[in-house]
Amino acid sequence: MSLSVKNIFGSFRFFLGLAIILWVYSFWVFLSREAAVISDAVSFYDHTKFYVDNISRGVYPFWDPLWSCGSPNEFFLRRIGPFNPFLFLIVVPYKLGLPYWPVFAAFLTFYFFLGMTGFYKLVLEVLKDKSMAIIAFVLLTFSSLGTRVFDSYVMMFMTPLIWFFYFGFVFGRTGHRSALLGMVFCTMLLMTTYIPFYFLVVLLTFVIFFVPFFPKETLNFAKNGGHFIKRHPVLFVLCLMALGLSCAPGILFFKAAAEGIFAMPLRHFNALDPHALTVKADVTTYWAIPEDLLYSSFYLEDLRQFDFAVFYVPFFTIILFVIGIVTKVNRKTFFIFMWGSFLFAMGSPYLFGLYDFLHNHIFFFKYFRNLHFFLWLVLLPLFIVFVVEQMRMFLKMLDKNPQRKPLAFLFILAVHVALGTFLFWQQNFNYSSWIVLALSLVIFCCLVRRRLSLWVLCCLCFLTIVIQPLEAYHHLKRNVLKYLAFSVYDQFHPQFQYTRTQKTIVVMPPVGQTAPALEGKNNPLYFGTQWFNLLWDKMDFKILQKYTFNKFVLYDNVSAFDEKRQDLLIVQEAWAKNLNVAFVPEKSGPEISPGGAAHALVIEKESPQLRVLDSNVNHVKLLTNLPMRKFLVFNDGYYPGWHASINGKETPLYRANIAFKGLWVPSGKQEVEFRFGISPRYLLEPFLVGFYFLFLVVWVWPWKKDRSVIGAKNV
Amino acid sequence: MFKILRNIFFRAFFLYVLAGSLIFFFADRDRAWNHVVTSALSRYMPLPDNWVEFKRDRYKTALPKMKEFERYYRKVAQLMPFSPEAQAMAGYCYFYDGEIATAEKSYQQAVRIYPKVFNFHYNLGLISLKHRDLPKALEHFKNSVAVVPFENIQYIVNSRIYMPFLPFARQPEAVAAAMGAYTQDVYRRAYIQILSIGEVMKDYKVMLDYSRRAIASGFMDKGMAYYYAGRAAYELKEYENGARYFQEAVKNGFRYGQTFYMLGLCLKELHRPENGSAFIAAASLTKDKKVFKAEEPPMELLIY
Repeated sequence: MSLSVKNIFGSFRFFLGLAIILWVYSFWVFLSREAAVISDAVSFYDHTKFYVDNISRGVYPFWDPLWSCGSPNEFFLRRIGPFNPFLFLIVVPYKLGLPYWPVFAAFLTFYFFLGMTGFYKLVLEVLKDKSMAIIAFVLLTFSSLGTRVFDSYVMMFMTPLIWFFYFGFVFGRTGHRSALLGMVFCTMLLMTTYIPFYFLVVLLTFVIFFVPFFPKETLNFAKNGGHFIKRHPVLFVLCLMALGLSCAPGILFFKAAAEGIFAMPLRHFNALDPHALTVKADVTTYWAIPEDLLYSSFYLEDLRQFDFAVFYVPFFTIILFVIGIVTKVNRKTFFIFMWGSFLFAMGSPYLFGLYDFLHNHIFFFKYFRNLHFFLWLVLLPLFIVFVVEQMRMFLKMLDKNPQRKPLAFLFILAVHVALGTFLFWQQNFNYSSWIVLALSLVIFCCLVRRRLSLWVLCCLCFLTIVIQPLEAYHHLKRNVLKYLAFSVYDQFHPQFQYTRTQKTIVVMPPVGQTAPALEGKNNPLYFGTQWFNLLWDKMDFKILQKYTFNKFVLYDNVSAFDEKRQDLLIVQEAWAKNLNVAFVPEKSGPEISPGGAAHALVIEKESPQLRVLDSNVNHVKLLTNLPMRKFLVFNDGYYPGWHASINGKETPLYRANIAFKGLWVPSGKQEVEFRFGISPRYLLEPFLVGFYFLFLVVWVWPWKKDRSVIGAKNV
Repeated sequence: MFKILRNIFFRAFFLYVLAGSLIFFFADRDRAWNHVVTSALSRYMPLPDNWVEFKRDRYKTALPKMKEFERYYRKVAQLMPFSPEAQAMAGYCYFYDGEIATAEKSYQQAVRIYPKVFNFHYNLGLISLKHRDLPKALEHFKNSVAVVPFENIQYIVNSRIYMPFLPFARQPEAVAAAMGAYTQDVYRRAYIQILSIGEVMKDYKVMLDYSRRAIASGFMDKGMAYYYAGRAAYELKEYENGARYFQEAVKNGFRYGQTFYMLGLCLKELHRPENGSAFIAAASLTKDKKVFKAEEPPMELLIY
């Protein structure tokens, strides 16, 4: 048997399968929805559900009537990556009648393992060692990254990020067309999922460090790029166009944010810049990488407290890290170390001044706030690649110097004794750490002495890595709330609802337990139109809630609202008493129609005066039959891009009652229509859904044929 | 030589030394540490909803979530060793977790860092009582009443750690009223402890001294304080003072059988046997035959 562990592991597929089984078993409580997902994963679930519900009905959801009494859906679409063709893995089975949650859970599992497989291939490409790639795969899969599937949406951009680098390395080596298309496709996904600035930071810093460390490889990449342009000029232009198109929704959204027509007070809070996406440096630096690490350390002292968002790597990684201290530094490890250190320094604003410098000098640093994401996106995988490369170097060192085996044996023993002493001092309650330590000692002794059969050693390695994560996940399952949390997005109503379900989570506690009290308004609005934000901030919440419960109100009188004074008390009083007066901005040129009843006519359900004929999230068509001309207020957010027509004729749409839509409706039978997303810019997004699909097909088809070319040299 | 140097410096541990040196020489470590600790602890803090239950039930209900508080305060004390109230809160948790010795150490540490907080001394007194170490307990209770109430309140209301426990933390007037009642209650408890221990230890000088202080401070029921002062004066054979104190006790409504009886004894000693006998007789003839039972303050540690 060779001393290198190249031969230790058999097939990647075997370990992939085993990892999937163990992972699914560990997280079954979430996958089966016995326990609720939390934090950002809730909003990811909500918005994906909303998107899928609408797409499966053939409607592209530009508008979300459920969020903040009607908001543009652009921001939430940006977060989920609406053009990602893989989302159709949810749409198709759901359309075929399968229940949503199992399909969604299967998608989450698939996407996570797609990312992990990409990581395996990336490590294989970089280290050229299959066994090390498998170790890296298992280490990353069973780190706490897996838990983030259920409390964040980090995997939605981590998976394409991993594959982007894989295709980048492959293209640098082979210059193959499919690899470049893969890079382009991943970039397209990254530019349209969440905030692309994280990707830009990762890419730019990578390039800055890669070029001086690997000039030859950089040159190769450039040469391959040149050849590609010469050989496939049309395809190259198409790729540029695709990249340009993928940037367009982000740019349009960025411009809309600059106009300030929507508000994000929770993140924009305190920022001087009027741009709605701006985040003040204080907000960003409050929670960064060192904070995340220290916070995680509280939980890792005793795995029984293990929770979500705790940064964790299997203990075997630490053993490898310590053993690796004697290994020689090569270009790869030095590059990883330097790049990682830079990102760490950038993500530690209170430790170094690097972030402040970048925030002041690079414009896009103002627009993202989660510096700790770099810990999960880059530093975690980099650390794993670093330690497995060290392990490879260690084994190589033993291979080259067999006479030093006794010394190596003593060193391994010393490392394990030292770590054991450390655990003892820490009064560590994690029994699995001791088992891992013992197994690790056995593995390394066997590697030095070359005993044990291949398969026994294989299984020992896998077991050593997964044994502690399984304990951690087990405790996580016990620590999470076993509440089933349903949101309004769970109950999709194809028919129009005349009354509004508030966007609150309905918590179903187990029998015998009381649900935590929920308050309607306990923090600033997360996202909404700037006008609704004003109401949310200044208006009595109960009055606002009562008023917006009904979606249609008919008024006889319209009064001008002084936008400068913003005296909301008048409006509040009118709502509280249901006075027969609506408010419109002065500049809208309201038509005053005095007289009529004392109270406004609130439409609570279908009535002879007003009936909804047809509706979807972007469009509502009504039939009115009024005895006299009235001002109709549709309590759904006013926003540029909404149009109204009566009997097919465009009619002025006012911003009424501060934040909602209103228009004059003549007496008699009238067909009133509200429409959103009909201008040409809104055609772009549905077009991009198809375009991404097409690009995937064009890319995958030849790539399937050329897979042998790409992967042949690796193994 | 170059080969040896290369072998040494081209090892991974050298990278770690380099990284450590960079942090040591170029990073603003103190500022960073303070921020990181504060942020991480803020996030680690148990849910605010649980504060109320914690305050109300403490460990009586033994709910698992109470353990969260214990872990939290242990961590706060570990990471903020110079925060006296962090030490005290950790001590509070240790006490109810049965780790009395560790609790005592935490409170002692809190006192060493900042001695001007009432509850540090008072709780140490209770811990000493639990050990049945009366002289030590007496010393701690004496220290507790020596704390200036205003300084104590100021410290409590300005503490971030005590903030969640304070009633109506957002309304200053309500806080002031609540803190006034709180001060009255806890200082009273401490005086009663001192007087009771003084009586058990037959240290009548202390008893007399602290009952006078209690009268002057107004934290204790005056009648009761005069009664204790009278008892101490009688035992110290200061019969005149004793009689005066007992008379004051009666005037202040402390009309128990013992008061009259002791007043009678004082008067007898003052060679006024007729009057003395009359009071002794009155002691047994008091209408409702009230018998004074010395109050036992609860053996419950104070959070703040």
